[in-house]
Amino acid sequence: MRIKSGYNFISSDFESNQLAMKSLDTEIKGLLKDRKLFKFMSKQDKLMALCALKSWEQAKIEEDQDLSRVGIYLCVGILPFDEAPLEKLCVKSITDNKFDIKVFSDLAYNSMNPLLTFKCLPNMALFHTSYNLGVTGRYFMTYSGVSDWVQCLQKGIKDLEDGIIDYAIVGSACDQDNFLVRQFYQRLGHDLNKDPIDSASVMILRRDDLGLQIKDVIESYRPVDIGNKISEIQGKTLELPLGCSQISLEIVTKLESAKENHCETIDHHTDFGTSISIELGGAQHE
Amino acid sequence: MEKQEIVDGVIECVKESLVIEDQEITTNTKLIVDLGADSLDFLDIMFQLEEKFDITLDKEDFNFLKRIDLPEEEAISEGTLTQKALSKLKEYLPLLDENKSGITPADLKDYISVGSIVKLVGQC
Amino acid sequence: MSNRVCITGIGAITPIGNDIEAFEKSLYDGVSGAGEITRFDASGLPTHIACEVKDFSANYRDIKVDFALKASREAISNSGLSTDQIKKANSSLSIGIGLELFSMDDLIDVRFNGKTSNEISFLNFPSDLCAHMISHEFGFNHSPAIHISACAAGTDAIGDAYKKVKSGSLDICLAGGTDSMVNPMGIAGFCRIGAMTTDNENPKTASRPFDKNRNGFVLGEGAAFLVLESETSAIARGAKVLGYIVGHGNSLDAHSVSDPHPEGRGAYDSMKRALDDSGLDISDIDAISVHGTATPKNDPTETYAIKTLLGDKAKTTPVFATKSLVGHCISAAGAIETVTSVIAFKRQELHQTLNLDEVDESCDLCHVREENLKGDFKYILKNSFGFGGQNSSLIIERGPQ
Repeated sequence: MRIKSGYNFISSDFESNQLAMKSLDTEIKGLLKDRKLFKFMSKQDKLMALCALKSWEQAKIEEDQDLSRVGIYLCVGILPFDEAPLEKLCVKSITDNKFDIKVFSDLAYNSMNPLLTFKCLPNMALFHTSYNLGVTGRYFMTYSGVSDWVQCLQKGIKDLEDGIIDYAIVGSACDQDNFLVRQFYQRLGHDLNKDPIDSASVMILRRDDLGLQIKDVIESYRPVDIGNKISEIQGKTLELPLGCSQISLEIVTKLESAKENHCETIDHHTDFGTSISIELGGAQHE
Repeated sequence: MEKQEIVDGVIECVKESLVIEDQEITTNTKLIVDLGADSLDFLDIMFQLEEKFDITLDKEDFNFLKRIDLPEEEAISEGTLTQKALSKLKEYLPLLDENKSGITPADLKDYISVGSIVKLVGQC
Repeated sequence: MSNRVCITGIGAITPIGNDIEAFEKSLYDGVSGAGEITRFDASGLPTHIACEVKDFSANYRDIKVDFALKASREAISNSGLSTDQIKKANSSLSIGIGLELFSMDDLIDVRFNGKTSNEISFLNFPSDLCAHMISHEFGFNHSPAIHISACAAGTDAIGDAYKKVKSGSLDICLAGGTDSMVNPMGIAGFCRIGAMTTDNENPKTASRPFDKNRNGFVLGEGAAFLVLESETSAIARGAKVLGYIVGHGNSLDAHSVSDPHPEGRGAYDSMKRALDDSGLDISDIDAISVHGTATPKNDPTETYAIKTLLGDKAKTTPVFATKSLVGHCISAAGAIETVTSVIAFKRQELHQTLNLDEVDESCDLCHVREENLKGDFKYILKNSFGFGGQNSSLIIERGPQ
């Protein structure tokens, strides 16, 4: 299987995360099919949609491509929640610095923008990607880390091999500059407080002679005993700082420069017992 | 609050919600017919207005037929709105042509303009 | 290589029964699982009724983890599979799961009282950990597939497991879903977009799919799992086959953030793809387990799509809505409803759609209403349609009689 195109977004490429987000907002607004849907989009939705739209554009898909024969396979990161509404929720739900359901049901509830619900639904990245591209084909939506992204890759490849799709959009997006995400990683014993990075990466695959080749994807699994304290997990390896996008970002970076004789294996191990090996082959360029 | 302040504030909320910074909006701009707003857009616009003006709005506030408080038999005749109802509704829906016949209650939403919202906010 | 995909075990915990036996009895007695929310004081919110699992104490703060463990254990036990058999086979888990909503108590403690903790359940319990816990418990040797397509997740999880067993990449796959959003943020979030019924005074009759007076869904919770196994593996160990999964299809509406495509285009696609995948014809479909949420928009759209697919046959193909009894169990819905179909095959009887007093004129399908329906049912089509236009359908076949 070949990777026809790919697009990355990494917030650390910008001078600050704030500038990165501003650029993200400006860019995505300019690309959306219906600009007013912008207000429904969480950061992960924007990251994913931007990379998907850019990758699609680069792939120069035929105008008459049957969009029901395009599949979308996405992985998002740990559930995020924007700081401003989070703060508002907290401040409007307390009595004596303790959660008070009655205050929550009245003050917090009425101060929540109704559209906030959509920003909290992680599967909306799939909607925004499909809507903006007009894709009505198959899908797989998952989270939270690299091993789950690998499932996306495997499924996209399988559907291409089975001939039920012509193109597979395989994407990952993670919002990590986020209070809840930082809390999650702290419990894992990783520290995301310093310079968290938001990223996304989308690649478009097809059976073709052109593009960087994915020769093989091997996964093996030996589930660990989670126990009660996450920090007791043995053999943990940093999935950070790039979250579920890590491998995809790496592969997409190589797309243009990889030569015909390119030969490389990317290995990765996760905290929960998955070992991954992706064999890349030579690239054929136009 | 000065009326112009309300007008500017409402226009800002509508532009922000519908992502139409570059478009020209006046009090005569109709939200559904001219700007394509749907029910979820209205929810968001309402929320933005509540934040901006520190008021409370409800979906029912946009039920203008209820607002004019006319008995049903005086407001509706054979499914369409009477001239009496249309004249009263013009206060909230200035773009209504009270001389036009055949307007039903369901048609009223098409006449909601920026001006209608300015009126609602002013009354809060 | 193509293996027939057998269902060799089922397990469930639902608002109307904490195991398969109790669940089956309630389904056919027409018991509604709805009532005032007891898990927290929801009285201040616009909707304060839900279909809660009853008489169940949780070890984890996020109760869906407990649901998943219970139902998966029942399914594996029901299948008769031994640890050794699982170890020797290519085995995995495919799970539809809702994502972790944080605990408001903990959130406030962190932000206002400086609390920190390494405890796994503090703030939220990561849903992917649940998948790995189950995998570890049963000794699966392939990475779990975690499906987060919300209302379609359970059905997607089963479809995904079916494909892997069919292709031979797995011999055994535990497939299902779990969810609970019966907590302040979950209820508040759905209330805020007006998706749920506010008929708090009449909880037992509030979930009314296809009824003229329906006005939104009743939130449910629970979990269900099926053991999917290759026929080769099932025969080799003399397993009892409860049914087969013979087709799966999914699709995207690409239409609206909250509403289904008005002509159910995506719904039609997922049903057609499942049918094509199975190699069957519309004449083979004996019944449909609908998505049937009781929202103003889903029910007529699903009706339109079914009529487009079946043509005249829609007038005589019975449809039944499990959500009328158990509510909308979101990521667990598709799994609970697929298990319901397996039970229906065993009994050769479909449960009624509760509260269907007056069928809405835009929902004119052949509803099983007022009483259960006995018949000769070989193939059931199962639908699940999610927010944001994700559609997923399965074709389920009855087991050997």
